[in-house]
Amino acid sequence: MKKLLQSLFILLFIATSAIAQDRTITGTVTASEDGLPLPGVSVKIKDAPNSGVSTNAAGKFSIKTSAAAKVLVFSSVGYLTQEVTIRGNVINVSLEVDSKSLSEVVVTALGQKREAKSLGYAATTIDASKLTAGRSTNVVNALAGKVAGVKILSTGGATGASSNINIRQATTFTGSNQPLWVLDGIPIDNGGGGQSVNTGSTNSNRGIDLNQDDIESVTILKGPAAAVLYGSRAVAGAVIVTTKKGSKGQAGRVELSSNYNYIEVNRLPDYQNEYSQGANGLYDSYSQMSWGAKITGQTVTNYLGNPETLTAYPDNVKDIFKGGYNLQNNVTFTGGTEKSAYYFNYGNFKESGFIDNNTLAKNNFTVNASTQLSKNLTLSSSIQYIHNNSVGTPTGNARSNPLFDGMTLPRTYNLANYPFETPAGLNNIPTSRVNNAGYTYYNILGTDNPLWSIKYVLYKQKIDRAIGNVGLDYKIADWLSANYKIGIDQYTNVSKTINEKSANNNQSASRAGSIIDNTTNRREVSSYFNLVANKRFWKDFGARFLLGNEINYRRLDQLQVTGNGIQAAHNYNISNTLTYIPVQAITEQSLVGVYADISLDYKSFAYLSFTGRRDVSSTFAPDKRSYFYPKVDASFIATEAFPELKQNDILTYLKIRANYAKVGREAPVYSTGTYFGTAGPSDGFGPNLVFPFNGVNGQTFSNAAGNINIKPEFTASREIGLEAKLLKDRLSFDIAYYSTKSTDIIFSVPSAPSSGFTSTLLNAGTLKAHGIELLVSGTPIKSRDFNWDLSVNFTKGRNEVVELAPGVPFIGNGGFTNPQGRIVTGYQYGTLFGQVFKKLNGKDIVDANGRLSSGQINTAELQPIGDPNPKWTGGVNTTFSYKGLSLSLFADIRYGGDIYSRTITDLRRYGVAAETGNRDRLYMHNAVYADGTPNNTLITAEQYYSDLYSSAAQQYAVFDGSWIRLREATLSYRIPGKLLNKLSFIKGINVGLTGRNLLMYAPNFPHLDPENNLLGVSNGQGIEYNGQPQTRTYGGFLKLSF
Amino acid sequence: MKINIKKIVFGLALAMTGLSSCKKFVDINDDPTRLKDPDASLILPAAEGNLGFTMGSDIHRFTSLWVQQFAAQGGGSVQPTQYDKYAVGEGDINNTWAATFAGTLADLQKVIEKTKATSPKYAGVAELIKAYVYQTHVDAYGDLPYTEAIGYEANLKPKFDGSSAIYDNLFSLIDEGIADIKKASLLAPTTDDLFYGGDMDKWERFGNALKLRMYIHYFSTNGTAADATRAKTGITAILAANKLLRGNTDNFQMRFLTSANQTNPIHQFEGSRPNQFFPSKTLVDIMNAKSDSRRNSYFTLQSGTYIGATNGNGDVVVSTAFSRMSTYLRGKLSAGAYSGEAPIRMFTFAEQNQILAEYFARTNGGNDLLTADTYYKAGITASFANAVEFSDATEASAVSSGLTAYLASANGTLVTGNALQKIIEEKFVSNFGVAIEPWTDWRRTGFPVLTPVSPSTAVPRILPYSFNERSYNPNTPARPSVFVKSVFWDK
Repeated sequence: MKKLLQSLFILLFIATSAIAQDRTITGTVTASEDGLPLPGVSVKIKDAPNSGVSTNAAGKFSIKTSAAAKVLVFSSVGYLTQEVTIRGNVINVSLEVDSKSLSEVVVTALGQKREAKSLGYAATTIDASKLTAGRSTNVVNALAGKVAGVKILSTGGATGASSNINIRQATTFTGSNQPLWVLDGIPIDNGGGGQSVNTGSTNSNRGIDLNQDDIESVTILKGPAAAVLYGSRAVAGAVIVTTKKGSKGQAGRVELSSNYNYIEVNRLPDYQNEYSQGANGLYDSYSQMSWGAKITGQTVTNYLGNPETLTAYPDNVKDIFKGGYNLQNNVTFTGGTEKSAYYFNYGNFKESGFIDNNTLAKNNFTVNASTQLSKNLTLSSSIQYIHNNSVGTPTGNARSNPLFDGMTLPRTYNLANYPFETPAGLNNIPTSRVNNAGYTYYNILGTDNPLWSIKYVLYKQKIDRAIGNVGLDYKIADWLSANYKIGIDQYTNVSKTINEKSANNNQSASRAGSIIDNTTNRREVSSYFNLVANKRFWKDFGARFLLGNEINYRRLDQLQVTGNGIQAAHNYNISNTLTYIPVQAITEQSLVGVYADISLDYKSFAYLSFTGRRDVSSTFAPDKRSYFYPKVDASFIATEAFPELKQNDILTYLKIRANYAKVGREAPVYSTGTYFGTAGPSDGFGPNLVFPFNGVNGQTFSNAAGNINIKPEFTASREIGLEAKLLKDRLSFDIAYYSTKSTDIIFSVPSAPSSGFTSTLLNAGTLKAHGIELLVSGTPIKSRDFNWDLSVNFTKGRNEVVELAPGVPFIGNGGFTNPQGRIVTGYQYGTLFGQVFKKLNGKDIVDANGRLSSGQINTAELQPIGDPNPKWTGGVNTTFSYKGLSLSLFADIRYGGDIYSRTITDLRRYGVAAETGNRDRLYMHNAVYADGTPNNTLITAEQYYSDLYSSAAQQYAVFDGSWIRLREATLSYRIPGKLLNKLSFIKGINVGLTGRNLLMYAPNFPHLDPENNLLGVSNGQGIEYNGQPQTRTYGGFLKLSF
Repeated sequence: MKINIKKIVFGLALAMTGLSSCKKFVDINDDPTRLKDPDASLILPAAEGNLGFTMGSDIHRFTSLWVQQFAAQGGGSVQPTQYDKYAVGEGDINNTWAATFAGTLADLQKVIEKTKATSPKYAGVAELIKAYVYQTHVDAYGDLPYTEAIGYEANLKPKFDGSSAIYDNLFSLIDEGIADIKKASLLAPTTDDLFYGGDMDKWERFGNALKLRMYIHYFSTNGTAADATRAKTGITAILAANKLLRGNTDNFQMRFLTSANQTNPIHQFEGSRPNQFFPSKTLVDIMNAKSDSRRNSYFTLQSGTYIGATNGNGDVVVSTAFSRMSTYLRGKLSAGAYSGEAPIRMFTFAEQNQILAEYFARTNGGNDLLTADTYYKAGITASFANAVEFSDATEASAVSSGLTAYLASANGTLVTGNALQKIIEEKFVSNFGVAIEPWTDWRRTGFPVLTPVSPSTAVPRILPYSFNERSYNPNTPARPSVFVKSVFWDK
């Protein structure tokens, strides 16, 4: 080894001294697109590899050459390399943008930059301009519809609403199927965003903290093969976020950008406006139904005891909502010196949603810098500080959710006409039907006045978060480098839940009110050491070897105090409550991984790569915690192996790729043992019992058994793909087929409660998935001034639940007792199950009165009522650009995917939906009597809709959630440089209009936007339950560069 | 490039330290905030609290609606109106079933395992509570996992035992519990015993009273001579030992507190789901017919009278024009608000008296009415005394002043012919708020006479099994219908 090195040095020495440097050539390099000088362009003498210099900030270079030198080579990332024959001592060059080269280098796992053609797996990169095109608040939403195989489902339209992201199909039952998030090489937390069914408020996924204007690109590593180097935590793929950096030698630049968007509800139900509040055709001022009297301007007595003229209020629901907005400003300083580069950004974001008291404010500070300490040593660092401050409203199945019956307000009830709070600022909800001028709402069933809960029932959150890393790169030799990076993601989330005195929800027993103060600290530290060797040998062979180590530590500290019984109203200090329930939770887990990757190539057209990784995870017992898994991938570029293939410019690039990988998954923290916990009996109706009780504490043995024998769960995946470029690269295809198989899945297997446990943690079951992904992109029109780019992606994936655990017929994956999502052998993942009516020969059976009454519901066994998984999804992205003007449109298509909608159920059962307005006729259920004869009993509209949309039977409450939507649209204009001559201090102005969710077409989903998910970030989907409706946003932006 | 041996050695040493500290780095899988093996004094309150809560929660709602002590209101979309129409599905059973088996019984088992050898007073108390849980739950569900139940990981699919066999086992379990609480014990329950505060004498009395309750169940409409003999033998022995509840202070109950989330769960339900759970017309009418002065603390006045809600029509006829439960179940009333501290009563002195009244009315050819009448009157007196537990002075005097007249009237005196009906109706009234037992009495005796809610033609006689139990335990027997007689004594 030593000798080899020495001879190499000698060879290099001889080679360099052999060149006699006897003249100097100078010049300027500019970009052909805008004529601006290009810094950092490498200028070399052809056939003299050590001769290089770089252009400076002004694009100027100066290189000494020998008289024998004939050609200079100019190269720069993102531009086509140009060779210029030396004539004279001044050479000015204009470089052409290489449209495909941007995608040629991909940031893969561990920040390794790899040539796209060498990859045997799927990695897709989205650059900044596409991310911010539609200005979404949550970075996850910005990915919707843009990458084949990536499924995004937002929780709803609430400010700060979370968004679920799945890359390909689910690979585990009850564990997380969310991908790992990596920011500048360091894993960060995108946790949170799960919504509790019966309590709680809008809860963001933590990815929302990121400032999208900081992001240079997002790379999606699909599946285990792509992400294997990240190990156990990337089984579900990885989202690699790279932030913007300065470049060396770049002149300092200041950029100001501002964007504003207006926010509104994108779809509200259609209402009937002919019939009043009430039932059985009679006005009833306490009823939540609108099956009352025909509105003829008659005078009635309301629940306050006052006479009023019965009037329909067509906009009574619409009036709950207002126009919201968001405003974001960024100021950026970026630049570099000869040896350093820096990027600094301050971003300020403010959003006020379509419901009062729903706000989000963010301040992001980002500093990215790197410096070359010595010839071979580079130090780089990225630091972000984020402050996120939000306020939200209760959601889900809670009577404090303003939309619990806010979307179904009686048609003759106008919130603005009555007081919504007492003089003391409290609810006073009717407890009897005795009219009382002091009441603050009509609803006798205990629902809070929506305006009251919007004002007083709040969830406030403050997040202080720091994400940072420091890295050292050391170039040991030309072919060998070492790098080390250590990073941290730490945040403190201080939240306060205010269930004001007199609120009625599960956190405010007997309307006594409660305050929940929670402080959560999360810290994740990751360290990576990598050694990378890169060498070509025997002329045609190349080898790349990576050896590395990851150390990861995660800690969560949570301290929560629930104070029940608010004493003085409107004072939200925890000490203003009567009883206290403290909860402390600390979880710590660690993971050490060692990995090696060897990639071989032959003549740069055949690549083969092997990866092995061994993880040691703290979540297992000592004898189970060390586990190994492999990956192999291959790529073959046929067009380079057989150049004759691309002779006539029809086929310019053809690549075939394949891979196999297997990745182990960690167990849930502390699951190797069964613990006791503080007792706290409760039922689903609100009553509960809090310990310590009467001076003693109570410890109850966990219902969920841990398991010392738990071992890693494995997901194996296979994938083949084909990439082709045709017609001088104007048209390209990327098609992939994958299949995965997960075995020994770690999950809490439900057990018979009579065993003492309701579940036990086991390795059991097999889950398969397969899918196909297609991306077609092309440039139908390409001319000097006008370009039209079009790309279409298509995704179709299915799961196969092969087996659960012996004796376990299903696993619930979210929702209610009924309906609920379930994982059942033979059904799609998360199929919705609910109660249906009793059947005879496939028809519902009515009772003797021709009714589908509660007795006609089959309560014995829940039946499958819908598959929430779309049959396929797709995206169409197109950009038209003419000179500085460009229009981008992103359409998002979802075909299939059933949704149970509680709001639609209520709209119909309560008699407020437009279709329930036809009451002059009689109805008949399409059903049979118990003896099989066809039903011929006529019933009223009220009976008909009450039967079909009973909350107890969900058979008719499931709708096809297919949609086509114009997800994003951007019209932008870059004011040409020549127009700015008089304002020479301004280097560029970019203005534009953006819109999100501008058009939505859901042919089979009435009244609402189907994109709504009660459970938020979760494996459970397809349940809408009085959620805040989706938004439409539109606005404009202005970007100035100095 | 010169290879530095020192550097290599140093590097290797560093790597070695790294490896050994790596073990420490990943040895962090013990939860620092939770206990793996707490003392029995921490587990017992959890088991008792869970039981006290459960008996005022789902299982109380189901059974008290079916036996028409309560009636549901609020329209078809609220669960109680569905229960009231006998639509209690397997899914509705999940919570209460899990709370009992994976909660109360699992914790009691831990107490027994931990203390049987060295602190048997704890084990004995746990055994007696376990006997009560099984007695009530066998009555509600029939066959249950008993011998193989609560085996934790070792047996995830326990077999079910016949209801009769479980009763047999419970008698010995009670004996075992009583024996255990009399043994010397390293540790003994005190304030951590939420029911009796560690008073072992009271626990023994309760154990015997519980046996009494079980024996009386052997008497039913079509009970056999063998059943009667068994009950007679058992009760005779208990009476001979003469160690029974002595008064309301010996009642088996869980007292709640006035602080939020620590109040009586029936009271809490009224707060969180107002206008859904009203006293039933059946109960109110029985008391109205007798001008029963306990109505003062049982119910609120509605337009100057006591009006109960009709069972089974709360899904259609929505109204709140009914009397509501009052201090007896909700605690002291002050400035229009109830304190919520009333206990969940699980076995009262009044019930013990009525059991004995029934026993004497049935034995000796049914003509020992004199002894029966003594117990009958003692039961009524105990119930009246209990009824004023949370009354203010005015209410207390209104209730108490009615007692003398009540006892003196035909309502307070047993005569041949309808003695059984009178006793059970009296028990029905005094067991207001007690889960399961009034329904058991109706199933055994047919009293009080109940009209099934429309369109049903019968009142349910059994609860469904929990959906989760049936789904994950293949040993769960089929349960064709809630109207089929299923418990061994239901003949």
